[in-house]
Amino acid sequence: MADKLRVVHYINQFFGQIGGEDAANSEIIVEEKPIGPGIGINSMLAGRGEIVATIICGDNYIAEDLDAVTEKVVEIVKQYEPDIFFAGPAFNAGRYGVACGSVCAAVKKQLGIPAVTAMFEENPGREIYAPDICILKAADNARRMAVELKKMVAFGLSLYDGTIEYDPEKEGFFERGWMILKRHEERASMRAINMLMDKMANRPYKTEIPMQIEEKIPAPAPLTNLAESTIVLITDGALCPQGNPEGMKTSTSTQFHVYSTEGKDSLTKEEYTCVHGGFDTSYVLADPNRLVPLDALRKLERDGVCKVHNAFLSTSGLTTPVTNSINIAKGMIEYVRNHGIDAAILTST
Amino acid sequence: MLLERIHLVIEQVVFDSESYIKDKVLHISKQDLENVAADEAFSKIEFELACPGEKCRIVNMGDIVQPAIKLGEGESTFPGVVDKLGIVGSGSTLMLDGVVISETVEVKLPLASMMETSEAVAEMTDFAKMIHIVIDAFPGEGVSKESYMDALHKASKRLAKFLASLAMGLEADYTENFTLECDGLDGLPKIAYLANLFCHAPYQETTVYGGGMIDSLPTIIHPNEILDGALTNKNYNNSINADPTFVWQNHPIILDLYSRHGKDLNFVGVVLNNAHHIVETKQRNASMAAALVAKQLKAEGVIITKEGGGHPQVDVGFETDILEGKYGIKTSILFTEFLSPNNDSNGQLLIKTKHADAIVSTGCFTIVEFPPVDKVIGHIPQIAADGKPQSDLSGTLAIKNRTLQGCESQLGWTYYGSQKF
Repeated sequence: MADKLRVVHYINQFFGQIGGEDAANSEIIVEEKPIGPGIGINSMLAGRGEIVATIICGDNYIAEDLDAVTEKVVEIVKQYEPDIFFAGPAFNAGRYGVACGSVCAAVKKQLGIPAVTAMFEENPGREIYAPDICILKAADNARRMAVELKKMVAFGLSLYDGTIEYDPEKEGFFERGWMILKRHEERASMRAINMLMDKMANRPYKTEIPMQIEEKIPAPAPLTNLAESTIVLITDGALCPQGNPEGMKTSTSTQFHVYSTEGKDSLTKEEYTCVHGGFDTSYVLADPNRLVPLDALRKLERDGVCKVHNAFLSTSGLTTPVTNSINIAKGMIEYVRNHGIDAAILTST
Repeated sequence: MLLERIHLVIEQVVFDSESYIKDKVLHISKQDLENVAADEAFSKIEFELACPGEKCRIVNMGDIVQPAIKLGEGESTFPGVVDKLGIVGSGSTLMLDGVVISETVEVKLPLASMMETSEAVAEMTDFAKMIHIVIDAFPGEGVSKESYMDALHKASKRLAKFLASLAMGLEADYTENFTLECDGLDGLPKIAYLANLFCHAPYQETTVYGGGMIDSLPTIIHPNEILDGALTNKNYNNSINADPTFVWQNHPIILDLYSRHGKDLNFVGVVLNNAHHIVETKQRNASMAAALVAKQLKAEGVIITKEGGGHPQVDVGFETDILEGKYGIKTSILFTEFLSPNNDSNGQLLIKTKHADAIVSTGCFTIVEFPPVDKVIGHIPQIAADGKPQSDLSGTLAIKNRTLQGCESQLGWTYYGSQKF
C-alpha cells in the first residue's frame, strides 16, 4: 500500500536483542524490519503504517559522543524518508533515555516529522529534552510494555494527524514549560466569575496561570571594605554608544553588551543613546548618567569611597523571556567574576 | 439607578443621499457624516464600509465605538467627549447593534491594531461579524499628531451619537434594563469589580468622562456609567494593549455579573484605579482601591483586571495582597500572557504572591496570517509580526494576535486562554 505511513524506530542494544551491558558499546546497526518493542508498535499501527527500519545503538556508544552519534542516527533516519519516528520507550534507563530524547529532538528539528519517546519521570532524559519534545509518561520498568507502546503509537498518530491538543494531563506527556493559544467554551469574563465563586465557596478550582513562588534568593554578604571594593554599573535600560554599533536589541534581548568607560568622568548625551523600546527615554537621552550614574560613582572614586570598574554592562529589559534573562544573568555573573569586581549596582527603568 | 438600553438591530448599511433607517437597513449620506465629523484638524474626511464576509482590511486602527445616544431632555451622550459633562448610567439610551464606527488613523502609530472582515477572521474576533463604518480622516497641514488624534477621538463618538439618533422614534428590537437594586440579594456572595486602567501618557489612556486618570486616585463608579459611555478608549499610542470603547460599552465582566445578579451573586459595584509609574503611587492607589472595595462596597469577592503591558501587574499584585491579606476578600484576576513572546509558560508573571492564586488567562502570543484582501481601508502600512511595516497593504499579512481588534481582550471579552504543555 502506497499510503501506508513509513515509521522508523530507535532502540538500544538490550531491546535490540544484541546484549546487555556487555554490548553497550555496540555501534549503530540498521535492520529493515521491526525488532523487539517495534513488533508491538507495528501491530498497534494496525495497518496505518509500518516500521521500515529499526536503528539499534549501544547505550555507551551514543552516550560517549552524544551529538555526533545523534547526527549519524538522524542521517540514517533521513534516508528512509519516514512519516513518524519512535524511540524507546526508555523507562528509567538513564543513558537510553538521554539517547531517545536526543535523537527525537534532533529528528523533530531537522526533519520536521513527529518524534515520540516515553520514559519514567526521573529519567535524566526527561529534564534535558522535555522543553524540546513531548515525552510520554512511562513506568520505571518494562512490565507494561504493551500499554506504553499503545500510548506512543496513539500519540504519534495524533501528532501526524494534527489532532494533538497539547494537553499534558489528558494526553499523558510531561509538561514542557510552553503554551499555545486555546479557545474555551466560556468567555474569560465568566471564567473569572466562576473561579471567584468557587474560591469563595471553598470549592476546587484551578488557576490558569500558576505562580512560581518557590524561588528564594538570599541577600549576599555586605562588603567589608568599601574603599578597596570595585563596583560595576549594570543596567537593563539599553544604554549604548550613539549609533548602537553592536546592534543591541530594543526588546526580547538574548545578550548583554560591555561598554568601556576608561578615562571617562561621566556619560555624555553626545556619546551615548538609549534604544530601550518600552519607556519614555527623553530624560536619559538628555543625560545618560540618569540611567547609568557614572558621574556620581566617579566622584565617590575620587573621594576614595570605592573603586569603579572601567566599563558598564547593558541590555534591554523588555519582553525578555525568563529563560533569556537567566542566560544573560549567567553571562554577567561570569563577567563580574572574571574582572575582579566586588559589587554591582543595577539600575533599571 | 436604572439604565434602559434600547437596541435596534441593523443588518445592512448603504450609502445614500439621505440618512435614515428603514427595515433594518441603515442609509447614510456621506455629506451628513462629513458634517458631523468635521474638525479643523482634518484636511479631508472619507468614509468606507467593511462588511462581514467581505475580504476587507482596515489598517492602522484607533478606536471602535457602538452607536449610542442618550434620550431625554438635557441628557449628555459620551459626556466630556461629545456633550457637556453629565453623569450617565440612568434613564434611556438608544443603541444600534450590528454596526460600529471604526477609525483608521492617518498618522503612524507605534503599536497600532487592525481588523479584517472575512469569514475566517470571524472565528477569531466578534468585530469581524459587524458592519464597520470607517472614518478615514487626514490631518491638515501643520496640525500636530496630538491635535489630530484628539479630533479623531471626538469625531468617532459624535458619529456614533448621530447614527443612533437616526433610530429615534423607530420600533426597538429589544431592551435591556440594568439596576443593582433588586430583591433577593440577602445572603448572596457580594462581588465587586476592580478595573485598573492604564493611563500612562496623553493618547495612551482610557478616559473617564473625557479625561485620563494619570494623576487620579481610585474612585467608585457605577457599572451603569461604564455601560453608558463614561469610559472611552484613547490609546492611540498603545492600541494593541487596550480594549476599544465598544468593549467598555459592552463590558464583559459587568454584563456577566449583571446576568447573575440576584441569582447566585450580589454585584456590589465597580472601583476604577490607574496603574501609575511610581511604586509609592502604586502602593498608595492599591491601598485606597482595596479600601474602597472593602469598606465602601463591602465586597466579599472581587474580580481584578488591568490594561497596558507588564508593570500594571504590579498594581494588581499590591491590590491582591491587601484585599486578601488585610481584608480577607477573595480575588480572581484576568491577565493576558504576553510578557514572553516565546510563550514560555513560566515567564508570564512579574509578581510573586501566594494571594494571586486564581488567575484567568485571556490568551498568549500567536502569529496569525491573513491571505491577500480585495479592499484596504486606510493608508498607513500595518506593522507586521516581524516589526516591519507591510509593503503591500492588500498582500499577505502576518501579525501577532493581539494586533487584531477583539482577538485579545484584557477585559475578558474573548473566549481565549492558553493551554500549558
